[in-house]
Amino acid sequence: MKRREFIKLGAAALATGAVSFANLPTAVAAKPHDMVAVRNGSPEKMFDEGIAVLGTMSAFVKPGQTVVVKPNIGWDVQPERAANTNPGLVAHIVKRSLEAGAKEVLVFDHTCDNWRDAYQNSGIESAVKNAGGKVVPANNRRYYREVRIPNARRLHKVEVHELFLDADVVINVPIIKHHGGGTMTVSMKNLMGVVYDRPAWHRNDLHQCIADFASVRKPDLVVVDGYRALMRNGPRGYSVEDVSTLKMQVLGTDMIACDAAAARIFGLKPSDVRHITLAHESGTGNMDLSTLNIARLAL
Amino acid sequence: MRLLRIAIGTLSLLAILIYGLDLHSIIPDRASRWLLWFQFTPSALRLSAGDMAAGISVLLILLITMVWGRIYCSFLCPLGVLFDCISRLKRKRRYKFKPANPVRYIFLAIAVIPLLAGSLLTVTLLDPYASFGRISAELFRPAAILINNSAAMLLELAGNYSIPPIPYRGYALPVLAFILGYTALVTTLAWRSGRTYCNLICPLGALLGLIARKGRFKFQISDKCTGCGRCGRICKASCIDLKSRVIDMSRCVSCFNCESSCPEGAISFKSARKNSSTKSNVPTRIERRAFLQKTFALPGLFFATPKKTPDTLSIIPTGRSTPILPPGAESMDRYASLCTGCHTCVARCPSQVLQPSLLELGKGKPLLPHLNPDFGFCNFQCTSCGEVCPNGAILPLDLETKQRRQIGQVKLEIENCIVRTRKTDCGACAEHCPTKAVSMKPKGKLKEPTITSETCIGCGACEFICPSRPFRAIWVEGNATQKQADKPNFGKLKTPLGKEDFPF
Repeated sequence: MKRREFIKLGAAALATGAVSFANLPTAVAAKPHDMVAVRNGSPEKMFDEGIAVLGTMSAFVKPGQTVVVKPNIGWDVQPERAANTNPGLVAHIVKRSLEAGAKEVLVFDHTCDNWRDAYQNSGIESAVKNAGGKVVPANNRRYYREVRIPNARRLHKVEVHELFLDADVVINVPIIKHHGGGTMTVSMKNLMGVVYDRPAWHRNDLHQCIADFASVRKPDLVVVDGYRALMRNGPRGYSVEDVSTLKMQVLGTDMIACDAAAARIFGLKPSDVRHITLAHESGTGNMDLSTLNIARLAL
Repeated sequence: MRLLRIAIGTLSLLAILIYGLDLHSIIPDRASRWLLWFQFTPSALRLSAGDMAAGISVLLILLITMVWGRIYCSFLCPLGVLFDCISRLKRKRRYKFKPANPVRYIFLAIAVIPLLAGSLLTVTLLDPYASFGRISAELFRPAAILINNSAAMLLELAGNYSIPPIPYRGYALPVLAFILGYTALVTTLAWRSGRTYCNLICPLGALLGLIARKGRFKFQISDKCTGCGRCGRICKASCIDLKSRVIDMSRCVSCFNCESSCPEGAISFKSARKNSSTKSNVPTRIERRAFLQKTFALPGLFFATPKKTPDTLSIIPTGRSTPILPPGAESMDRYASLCTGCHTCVARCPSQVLQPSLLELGKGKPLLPHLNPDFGFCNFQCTSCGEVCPNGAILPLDLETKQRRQIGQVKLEIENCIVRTRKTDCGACAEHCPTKAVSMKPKGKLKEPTITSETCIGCGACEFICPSRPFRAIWVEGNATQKQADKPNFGKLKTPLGKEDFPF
C-alpha cells in the first residue's frame, strides 16, 4: 500500500522537484512509464492526469497530423449500457488532439448494429462533432484496402479501413467489456472495427485473428475506458444491470499490456484471455505486468 | 380546376414518394397515418379490422366519388398520377375514343370474389396503392440509394462526409423480376394509352367508376361544341365520345384536361340533376381474353438464391419451415387477411431484413413481406414497420412490447457450429443476441452456444451473423402465432473489483 502511495505521488514529480530548474520532459525521460492506470475521476479528468504522466498530448500528436480515434461504437445502445466507449472520453481525446495541432481528427467504427443508429445513440457522433472531430462511415467496402500480415498464423490477408492505415496517428479507445466468444474485449479486439470482413474472424479462430491483427499497425496511444465496464452479457449487454461503474482508465502504447491490465480490472488473469496470450507469445507486446513500469494515480 | 388537380396530384405523389425514399429516416414513421390515410384500399382494410378513423377516409372517398366522380384517381392515387407523369413524357400525345371495355368488371369480380372467401390474393396483385408501393420500394428506392451513395462518394473524395452512404443488400431475384415485369407492363400501357390500366385492370377504378356513373356532377358538352376534337385527343381515359357528345363518367378520372382544352368553353363540370337525359355507355360484350390476362400475375417461378462457397464443414442441412413475420403481424391468418404487399414497410425497414416474399409464405399469399435474416436482422430498438403499415396488417407496438414480441424462436444445430467443426471459439451469435437467449457456456477449453427459447424474440441477429456455411448452425423458426417472450433475469451483478486498489 505504502509503496503504491509513493508511486502515486509520482516519481516524475519528485525527480523534477529535486532537479528544480531542469526542464521536465528530459528529467522524466530518465525513467519513462510504460503505462498509467488512473482511477476515481471523470473520464476526461483521468485522461488529462494520465496523459501528463506519459508526456503530454504533443508527445503523441504533432501539428498538422491526421489523427484517427477508434472507439467502440458497435451497438445501438445508450452510453449508460457500457456497450460503447464513453462519448465524453472520445470527445475529450478529439479536443486534446486538435489542441495539440492535429489537422484533422477522424472517428469511426465498423458497427455490428445499424451504423447510423449506433453512431447516434451511442452519443459519440454528436460529442465528437461538438469537439471539432469528424465522424466518418465504415460500412462500405470501398473504404477498405487489402493488407498482408507477414507473420500471421491465421489471418494472412485482411481488408483494413484506409484511414486506419493512412493516418499519421492512431489512438485506440476501447471500453472494457465481457465478450461471449472472445472472453473479454479491450483494445486488441476493438481493432476488429477497422476491418471489413468480421465474420471471417469468427469462422477462422477468433482469438488467433485478433492476435494476428494486433501486429498490422500498433496504435500510437491506447486509452482503455474503464469508467463503466460491461461485466456480463457482453459485448452488447442486456441492461444497465450488467454494468459496473469502476471509474478507471488505463493509458499506454502497448495494446497487449493495456489489455492485460484490463483483464486484471475485469477480475481475470491475462492468461485467461487466449488472444492476449497469443499476442504476447508472438512478441507483439508484453502481458507480463510485473516487468512494466506502471504509474498508478488515484484522484 | 385542372391546375388544382395537378397541384394536389403532384403533392400526393411527391409526399408518398418522398416518404418511401426517405433514406435517412428524416420523416417520422408515423407520418404514414396522415399520408396514407387517403389511400382507399389500405383504409378499407383498416376499417375491416375495426379502425373507425380509417372508415372516415373510406366514406369520404366514396362520398366524393358519388358527387364529383373519380376525383380520387387523379388527385390522390399515386399510381394514377405516376401514369400521368409517364404519359406526359411522350411528346405527341394523341388519344382516341374507345368504347367502354367491360373487362374491368371482370377484374373487379376477380378482386372481390376471393375477398369474400377471405383471400386478399387478387387485391394484392391489382390494387393501385400496393402496386405503386412495390414499384417505389423495389425500383425507385434502390435508384435513390445509388444516387445518394454516388453523391456520398464524390463528396468523400473532397474529404466531406456529410452524406451518409446507405448499405444496400438488394432483393431476391424472383421478386425483382416480377416487379420489373409488372412495371414494364403498366408503363407501356401508360405510355401507349394513358389511363388504360385504370380503366381496364384496376379493380378500384372499376368500383369507383360504378359509383361515378351515377354521380351528381358530370362533364357535359354544350351546344357551343364545334366538334374540333381537341378534348378527345387529350383525354387520357379515352372516354369522350364526340359523335354522341357524351363523356363516360365511369371511366373519366376527372383530370379537367378536356375542360381547359376546349377553345369554345363548351365543356363544363356541373350538376347533372337537371338534365337526366345523359346517355350511358352500357357494356355489351365480354371478352374472354381477360381470363387469360389474369394469368400474367403468375410468372415463372424459379429460385436462384446465391450460395456462397462452402468453406467450413457444416454438413447438416438447416433452415426454417415457418416464415418469420414482422413484429405486430400477430398471426399468419390475420396478417394475410390485411396485407396487400404494398411494401411500405420494406422501404422503411432500416436493416433491410424485411424482404418481399414471392411464394415463401404459402399459396395465395404472394409478395407479402417477411423477415429474411440473409439480409439483416430486426433492430432491437426499432418499431418502424408497425408504425408505417397503412393497412393495419402490422400493428404498431410500443418499444417495450416490441422488445419482447416473439416472432420466432431460435434453433441450434451444434454439430454445424464453428466450435465443433473448427474447434475454435466464435461466439458471433451470442455477441449479437439482444436478449441473451443465446449465450456461451464453457465446454472444455472452448465456449459453445446454448439457447433459451423462452427469452428469444426471433430477431434473427444470430442467424444473420452465424459464419457457418453452407448450413448455418443457428437459425430462427417463425412463430405461426406471435407471443410475448419472457424477460430474462440475470440477478444482481457482483463487482469483482475492490474499492480502493489497482488489481495489478
